[in-house]
Parts: sequence; C-alpha cells; structure tokens
Amino acid sequence: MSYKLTPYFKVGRASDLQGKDRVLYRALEILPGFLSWTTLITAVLLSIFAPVTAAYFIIALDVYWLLKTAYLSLHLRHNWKRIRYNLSVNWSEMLSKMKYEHIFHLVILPYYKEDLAVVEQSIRSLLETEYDKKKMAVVLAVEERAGEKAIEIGKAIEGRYAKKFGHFLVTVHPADVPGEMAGKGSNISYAAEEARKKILDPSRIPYKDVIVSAFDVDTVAYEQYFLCLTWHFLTSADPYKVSFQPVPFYNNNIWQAPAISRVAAGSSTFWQMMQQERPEKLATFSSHSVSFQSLYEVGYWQKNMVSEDSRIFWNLFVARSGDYSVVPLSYPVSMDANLAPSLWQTMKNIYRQQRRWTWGVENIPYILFAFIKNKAIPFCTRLRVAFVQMEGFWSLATNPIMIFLLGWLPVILGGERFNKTILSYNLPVLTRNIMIVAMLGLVLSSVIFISFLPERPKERGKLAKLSMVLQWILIPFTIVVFGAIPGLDAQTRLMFGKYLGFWVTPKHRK
Amino acid sequence: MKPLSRTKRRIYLIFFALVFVVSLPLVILYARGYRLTLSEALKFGRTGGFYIAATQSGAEIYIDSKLVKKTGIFQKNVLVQNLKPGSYDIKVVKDGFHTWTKTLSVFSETVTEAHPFMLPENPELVEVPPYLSDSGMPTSTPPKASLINTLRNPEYIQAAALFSVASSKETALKSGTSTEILGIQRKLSVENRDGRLYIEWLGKSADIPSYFCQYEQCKSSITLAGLSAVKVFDFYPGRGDLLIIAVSDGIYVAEMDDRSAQNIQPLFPGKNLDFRIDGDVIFIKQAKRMYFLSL
Repeated sequence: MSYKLTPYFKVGRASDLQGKDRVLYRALEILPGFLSWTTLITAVLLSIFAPVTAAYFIIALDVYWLLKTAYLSLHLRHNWKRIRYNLSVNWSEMLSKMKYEHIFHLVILPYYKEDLAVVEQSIRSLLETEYDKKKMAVVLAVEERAGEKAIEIGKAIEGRYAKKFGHFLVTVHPADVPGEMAGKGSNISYAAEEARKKILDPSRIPYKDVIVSAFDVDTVAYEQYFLCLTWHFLTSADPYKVSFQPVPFYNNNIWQAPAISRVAAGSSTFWQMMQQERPEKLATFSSHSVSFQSLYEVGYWQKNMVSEDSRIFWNLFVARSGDYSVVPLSYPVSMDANLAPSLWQTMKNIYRQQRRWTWGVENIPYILFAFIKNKAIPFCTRLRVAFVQMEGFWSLATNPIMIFLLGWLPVILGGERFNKTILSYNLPVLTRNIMIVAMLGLVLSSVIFISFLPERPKERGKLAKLSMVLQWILIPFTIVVFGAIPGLDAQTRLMFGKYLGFWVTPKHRK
Repeated sequence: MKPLSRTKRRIYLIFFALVFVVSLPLVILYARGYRLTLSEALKFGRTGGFYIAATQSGAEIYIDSKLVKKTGIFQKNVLVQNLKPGSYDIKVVKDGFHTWTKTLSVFSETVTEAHPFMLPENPELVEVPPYLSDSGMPTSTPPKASLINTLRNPEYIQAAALFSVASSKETALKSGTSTEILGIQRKLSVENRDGRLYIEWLGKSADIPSYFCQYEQCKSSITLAGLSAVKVFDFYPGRGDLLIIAVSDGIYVAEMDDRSAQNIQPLFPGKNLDFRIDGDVIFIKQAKRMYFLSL
C-alpha cells in the first residue's frame, strides 16, 4: 500500500494513533527531549563526578563549534554570492528561450487579524513582480474565527485588486472543524482546495502547470521571484519531486525593529542561506513554493499540527519513498522582523516565534515513524536523514547552553582536587578564547547583513547603520535565549505531551 | 550560478574533520599543561604553574627574580603557566608595604596556589581618646571630676567593652584545660599550647586548603614557627589563612602556609599590647590607651 494511503500518513500527534503505533509514536515524541536533557544532565553529573572528562568534552565541543562555524561560513559566503548573482540576473531573458507561458502561479496569502496595510503591502508587491498577472491567481485565505473585520479586509482588497490578477479569491476557513487545529495549515489547505474548485477546474488549468506559493501574509516577493521560480521549475529534472525554497529576509520593517529582533531575524536568514548550499539538509520553511500536482496528491498541508511548512516536505518525502528534495532558489522573499510596541513585548514575541519554529521538532517522530514503517525508503537515506534531523535539533538545544553556560561547570562543581589542575584554570580561558575566534565570523555576518539592507529611511540617522554592525555582539545572548532555550522548551513540551498550539506572530508596523 | 559543488563541500568537510581530529588532542594536551620543548630534542614536556592571588593593586610579582605581573585595580591575580616542575622563589613587592616572599614548588599539570599578604610599613593608627571636650570633640584631657562620667567618649567605651569581655582563651583556661582554644573558623582550629600556635584542619580531607598540601600529599596540622610566647591571637579579618598575634614586643600578622618559611610581618610594635577585632577593625590597647586600625 502506498504510504500516503496509510492511516498514519497525516498523523499530528501520538493520540491520533491506536495500539502499538501510538506507543511507538509517543516514544519517538519523547526521544528528542530525552536526548537533549540526557546530554545536559550528563554534563552536570560529569562535572561533579568526572570533571576531567567533562572538561575534555567541553573542549571538544568548543573546537567542534569553532570548526563548524568556519565550515558553515564558507557555505554562507558562497550563498551570499549566489543570491547577489541571482538578484542581478535577468530571469525574463533566462526564460526567453523556454516555453513557460503555460505556467500558472497560485499565491496563497493566509491571514488572521493583520491590518489592511500589512495585507495590502503583500498584494502590491505581487503586482510589482515581473510575471504576466493573467497567469497568476491570488487567494486571500482568512480565518472565520478572526471575525467580520478580517473578512471585510479581504473584501476590500478584493475590490481594489481583483481585476489586476488573472484570478482572485477570498476564502473563509470555517472555525472549529473537527480534527483540525486552528492554524496556518488548515487555513491554506482549505484555500488550496477552494482554489482548485473555483479557479483551476473551471478554467481547466492542468494541476501540473500550477506552482503554488504558500506565503505568509507579510511576505513580499522580490521583483523577479516568479520568473526565477518558473525557471527553476522548468529546469528541474522532475519538478514534481521537488519543493522550492526562497531565502527569507526580514527587511519589511528592519529599520524600525530593535537590535535584538534584527539579530534573531538575521540569524534565521543566515541559517537558511547556509542550508541553501546543503540542500540535502533542507526542508521547506515558512514561505515556500511547490507544484499543485504534488500538493493535490498528498491532500495539501496537514491540518492537525503547527509546522505545516516543513511537514508538507516530509509528507511528500515519505510519500515518494525518499525520492523528494528541496531546490534552493537562493532568491529572497522579505517578511517582517518581530516588532511590538515595547521592547519587552518584542522579546516575548521573538521567543514565541522561535519556539514555534523550533516546534518543528514535532517532525522528528513523524519522520522516524515513517522510516520505520516505510521500508521502501532506502536504508542509507533513512539513516542519513534521521541523523541529520536529530543532530540538528539536538545541537540547537544543547550546544549553546553547554558552551556559554555549562563551560564553567567543572570548575564550579569539580571540587578542590580538580580546581588545582592546570586544566581547571585553562578551561574557561580556552572556551572564552575559542568563542572570541568563532565570533570573528560575525564580521562576515555583518557585511552580508548590510549588503541586503533596504535603503535607510530618512528619519533614521547614520547611527542606525552603525548599530546594524554592532548588533552582532548580541549573538551569544540571542543564541542561548532565542535559540537553545526555546528549542529545549519545545522539545520538553513534546516530551511531556504538552503540545504547542499555533501562535500567530503579531505584525506591528510603526 | 551553481550551488557549492558536492566535491568542494566534501573537501571542506574532510579538511575540517582532519583539523578537528588533529587539533583536539593538541588542544587538550595544551589545556593540561603539556608544552613543546625545543631543548634537547623536540618533545612534549609536562608543565605546571602558579596562581598568585595578590591583595594589592600596583604590586610587582616576581618569579625567580623575573617580573611576571604588575597588578592592577581589577586584575590582582595572576596565573603563570608553562613552568617546568621544580622549586621557584616568588616575591611580591610594593613601595610602602612589607615584601612577601615564598619558595614554592611547581608540579606537572597542577597549579600551585599562593596567597600573599602585604601589610603597610607604617599603618595608620588612630587613637580613640577616652573623653569628650565641652564642645563634644574627642580628647585625651580629662574633664573636671564632676563631669567625668558625662563626658566619656562613647567610642572608647565601646572599644573598652571589647577588651572587658574575657577572650575565649581565658574561658578555656578557666574551664581547666591546659590548652588555649581561640575558636574555629572555616573548619580550622588554632590552639595555643604554651605560647606556640598549632593549626589543625577539621573539615573533609577533600576540602583541605591548598597550603596544607604539597602536590597530593596533605598534612592535617601546621605549627606556626617564628613566634613564641603568644599572648593573644585571632584570625586576620577577611582571611582564613592569616593570624594576627600579640607577643611581648608587638603585634604581628603571620601566615599559616608553611610550605616554606612562614611570612611574619609586624603590624604594631610595643610592649604590653592587647588587641581585639570587631568586624574589619582591629582595636589595639596599650595600657589605658586605645587605638584602632582600619584595614
């Protein structure tokens, strides 16, 4: 039986299953948190009972971290070049020798309680993109539970912009549908199906010719995004076996956002840039594009979980028995950086957003379960993907804590005997020095960050630009507080079955 | 433009993996105190070091007559590494202060701790006069006999009260033992046996202060040589390893550390001196005169 026809193909959590499957899935939900906590607790216990071993382990982690930083910097640098190149290319010319007029773009913009201005900016950016608008359909996907005002915004936008696109649809996702979780996944799946029934089928547009771009409502596509996407679609060996991933920039409000928010946003961009050079490690994230045909085959995005953006990739990956991958576009789309009326609120929002992103750990039990069940996926692929994904979540949640917080632990807990050793004296100094060298990589980060900034608004002084450079010294703080801790928070919740609901990042504009 | 090629990425990965495999043992050996020596043949030699915690800023720390550090306001401590195992002379010098010297051994992979102390050569003693003048200022001149009770300096009374209380040694004597026990601080007991001080560690052996040990060999008691006929003693404020001691010709501060000759520095010369400690203040009494020394 094809894996997509199994009862567990769209499992959201262990309680969706029965019997042994349920026990197995639950155990796999516990696994990531268990591994991370075991690592941290072992580090504490080793510091007390075997401080020398703990010190060796921390030194190894320091060296590993430094080399990993250097290794990833090479990827970052290459991707930086590639994005700049892709932004300079005339994609229209690239496509001129190809037949691409049949390619139809379906853009889904889900929204909840965002302001008219936020929705309108995204629609306007779509209008400014270079692609025949008659070959574009825009679906504004609103939630019924957001209330009348949200629906009115959809109608107002429709009134203003509907005629400028080939098709325009406002869908209202009904509230409280049994088996669904309130969130983006259920909303855009509903929107995609509505678009099929109301646009694609009546207009007889072949599903294979439709590329769906599932954006966030604040996603602003750069001018040639759809041309670039079309080119990649047409040049792919099999465009139905790949998803397409742009690089998320957070430039919409970058000049208004505080430093801490810019660093968190910039770090997310850099991570995605590095992953773009390591496509075998890439899953779709946030705004992404995929053929309608593929989506239709697997019944669109999952409606019963939070991380639908990456889960759709894994749905397709396991449905195609591992014969599915991500094509990195190395072309940006821009979104909002976190910004709230107060700094404290902004920080709380960053934390919640990071926790929602790291809640992607809910894919681990899904992937591992599928790997156990679907023997058609080559064994080596299963082993490699499982390791890469597990290591990713494990290192995210534990490494910064061990390096920045627990690096001193053997000195504190190791006892008098250990404290007399040269090793005990050298450990904190060595950790500090290695981290300083690793921080040199931040110079590259700040150069890249500045190179992609939009023009400085007149009301922002020259000092604002300086702060775009200096902000990177916040990295040791953000990597722990907005990286490892929300990561550990998410894993712990999953471990104890305290499942996270969908939290919509508020889009505030100054 | 193409993504980073697989070959290039593989080369990067192999390169960094090799750097990791080669550098990690070297970094660990370095952290443990191993150093590459060029003398004789090129080989790894095990080294050790000193951690010297000076209390003064502006002090110069010498090891075997070589200046290794001039202490600052924020950095009074120094870690000296890369020393071959052996014996070294440490000297801490500052103008206007007594010099502290010590001969200590360095052991491989180990840090030998030293906690110097330096008393000012001319400490500022302030007399506490027994009376108050008519205007309320402290004075040594006694007022008229009729006012003698109303014009007593309250600070003097307070200080005198410290001396009126029988010290613990007297209590011990009164209870009939032949040993004077001052008290126990930080699990250290100090006993005065016929004018000589004996220091004993009462805590867990794992927590024993470093000056009881030479490498991993620790003893449990130390004798304070150099001062005999001890009359009064107490712990120096803020330091568990220093004693302040009154003998027949003055008050001294001595360290317990006997890994080499114990440093003893004079605090206040004179005969018939007694002292008491109240917080950070040392009160000194000579006949009926009272002084305090703020540290």
